[in-house]
Amino acid sequence: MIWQNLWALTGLSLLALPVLIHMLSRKRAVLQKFPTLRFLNVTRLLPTRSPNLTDIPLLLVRLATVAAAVFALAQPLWLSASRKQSLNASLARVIVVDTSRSMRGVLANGTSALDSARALATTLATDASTSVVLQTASPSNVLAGAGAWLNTQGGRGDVVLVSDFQAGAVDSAALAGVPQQFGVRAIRLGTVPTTNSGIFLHTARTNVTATADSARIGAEWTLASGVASSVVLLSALGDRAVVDAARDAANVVTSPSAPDTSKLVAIVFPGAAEVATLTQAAKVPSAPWMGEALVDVRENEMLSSSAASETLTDTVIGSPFAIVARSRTGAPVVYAAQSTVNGGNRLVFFQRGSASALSSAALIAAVSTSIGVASDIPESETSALSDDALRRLERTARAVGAGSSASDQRATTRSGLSDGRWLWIVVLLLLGVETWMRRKVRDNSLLEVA
Amino acid sequence: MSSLSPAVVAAINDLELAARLVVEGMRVGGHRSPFRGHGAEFTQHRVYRPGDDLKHLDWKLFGRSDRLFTRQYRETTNVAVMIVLDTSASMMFPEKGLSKFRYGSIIAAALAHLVSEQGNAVGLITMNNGKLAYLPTRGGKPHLRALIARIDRLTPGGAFDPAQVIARGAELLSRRGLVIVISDFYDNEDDTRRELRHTVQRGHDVAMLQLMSDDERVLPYKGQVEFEDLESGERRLIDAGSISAAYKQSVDDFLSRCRTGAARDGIDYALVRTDTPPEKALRDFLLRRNLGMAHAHVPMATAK
Repeated sequence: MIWQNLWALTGLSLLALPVLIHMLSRKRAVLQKFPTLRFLNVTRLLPTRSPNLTDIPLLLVRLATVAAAVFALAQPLWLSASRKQSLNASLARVIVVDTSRSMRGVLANGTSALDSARALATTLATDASTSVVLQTASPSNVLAGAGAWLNTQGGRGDVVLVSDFQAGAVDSAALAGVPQQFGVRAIRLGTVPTTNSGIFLHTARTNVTATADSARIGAEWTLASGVASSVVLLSALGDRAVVDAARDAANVVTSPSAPDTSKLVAIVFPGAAEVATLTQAAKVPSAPWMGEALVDVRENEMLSSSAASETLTDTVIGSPFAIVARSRTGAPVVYAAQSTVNGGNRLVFFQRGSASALSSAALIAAVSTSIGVASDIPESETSALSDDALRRLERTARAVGAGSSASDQRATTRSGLSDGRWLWIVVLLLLGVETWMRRKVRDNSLLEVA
Repeated sequence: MSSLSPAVVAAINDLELAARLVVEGMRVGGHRSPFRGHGAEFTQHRVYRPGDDLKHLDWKLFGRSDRLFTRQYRETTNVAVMIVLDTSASMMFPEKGLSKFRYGSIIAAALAHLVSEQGNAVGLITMNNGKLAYLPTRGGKPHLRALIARIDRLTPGGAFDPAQVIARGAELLSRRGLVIVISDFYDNEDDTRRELRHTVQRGHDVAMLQLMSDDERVLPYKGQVEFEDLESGERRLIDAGSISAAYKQSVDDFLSRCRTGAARDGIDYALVRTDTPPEKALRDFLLRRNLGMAHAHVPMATAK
């Protein structure tokens, strides 16, 4: 038995009402026609109230009526086996898709792990009666919110994590945010190996040159031979040396992770011959990765701080361009759009500042970071959680009627099922009985007063 | 025939049938008419008792036997009986079951039936809707049926002046006869008693049938009851339980006044409770009259 409106049971305090009414009600004199009043002398009247309860059967019927009405308002539900089965068929699901850079690696089937995760999320969403897909680079941070949302849905629910599960990405502490009655599933999609392979992602298409002496240990990453960079730098001929210097500077502040060659980017510096052509062919970015890259570059702190120090005249940059970085005065420093370079669509970043400016090196670093597989420290984690560790994190969703009254209550409320209607019928019957009893009392009150 | 309970009698809508059943129920064999007329057929001698009218002394017998005997007579002429039926609103009590009015109607119809069956003349006088309504004393079945039908059409309520009705009823009797008043005698107690006394003084035989229900006698109610006077509509809120003893005493006093007043004035008096089967009440009344005719009322019965 589940009470769907538990608060309504507070109405049981109303049971005191009929008792008080019976105790405080004034006795009503019965009218009796009589042949003559000549022998009926006026007397002192009795008190009209009696401290004793009168008409106990009527009081009991009234109490039962109030109790039945309160119980009906509380919407009881008897959880039969068939009802449990029906309620358990409905499932609320939160699908958390890890969108961190480590998920941008290409799987063996040629698609990125992130795209596969999104497709899988769509499929998982259709399996549930109610679902929500959360895409985040930090799955741990959204688990508490996912649990809260499941709580609002009531009934069975689970959280499905689709990630490469880099070590430290999700742990039991983060999963504690999901209430115990809800299930947790972990689906691994990604390229991060479950065993520590040392240098992560750089082994395939980058070379690492380590140097060590008595004072320091250094490491230099360079692209492996034959690996083409997906970033094209376009500048005036006279600025070529400056641009190379900016690229070198960028390599200092970030590791040259293997670029995703499916993501083509161009950085155009002032004075480049292609500026007019690229500007003319510019259009709104159409590929999803371009949007993600734009967001990444815009959020790059080094770029935003270096752009802020630029002193440029303000200008209007309209559609299809998106402003990526501004100076302190609000003047656009870097803006971007999709355009055609050498016959291929690229995400083109236009740098208004000088090629020798700090913002140029920061732009190169931000772009190569954004289209690289991994570069920031958390994303440089070289191993993923083992399968056993994942299994320990998983749990199954608790079925309705298996012990959690609060979640069961929400589940049954959402289902719209209630046995309250039977109690309303009882209330109507009791009201009929009460009316009949009152009439009977009135009819019999020739001798007694009600 | 077993007694008809008041409930059974109340369920019979046909007043004539009810009256006949009552009469049949009380019939226990052939008997003499209880209605004493003033005929002069000698029936027997009785030893003289002080107080007997000296004119009924049989002097010849005294001469032969040297003892005093009084001559007794049986009626030889038809007697005229005028029935006075109370139609005041107080007769509508009790509202459920057999009311005093219905009970009185049955008694009146049964008496009329009995009187008429024995070849006597019977009439009815009452008040209907505030006006005097009467049927003169006559004999015969058609008249009996008309009388019963008139009783059946009566509705209680409205004004009822018992003194006026009794006086008029007595006037309607062309010669000395019997006036039977069926009432609860609540109205104008003193005037009613005075008029009854006058009727007796005019030479008529008078009988009082006082109807009363049990609820009127013992006031069985408890708690606070608002009583409404059936006649005046006045209401009085009373703690019934606390006054029941005083009420019963008052009613007993009232009944006692009626009884002693009737005895003092030479009136036949009978208190009839409405929970008594009508034929039993009627039989008791008539038996008492027969006894009275034989003993207590001999001087009256033998008066010529």
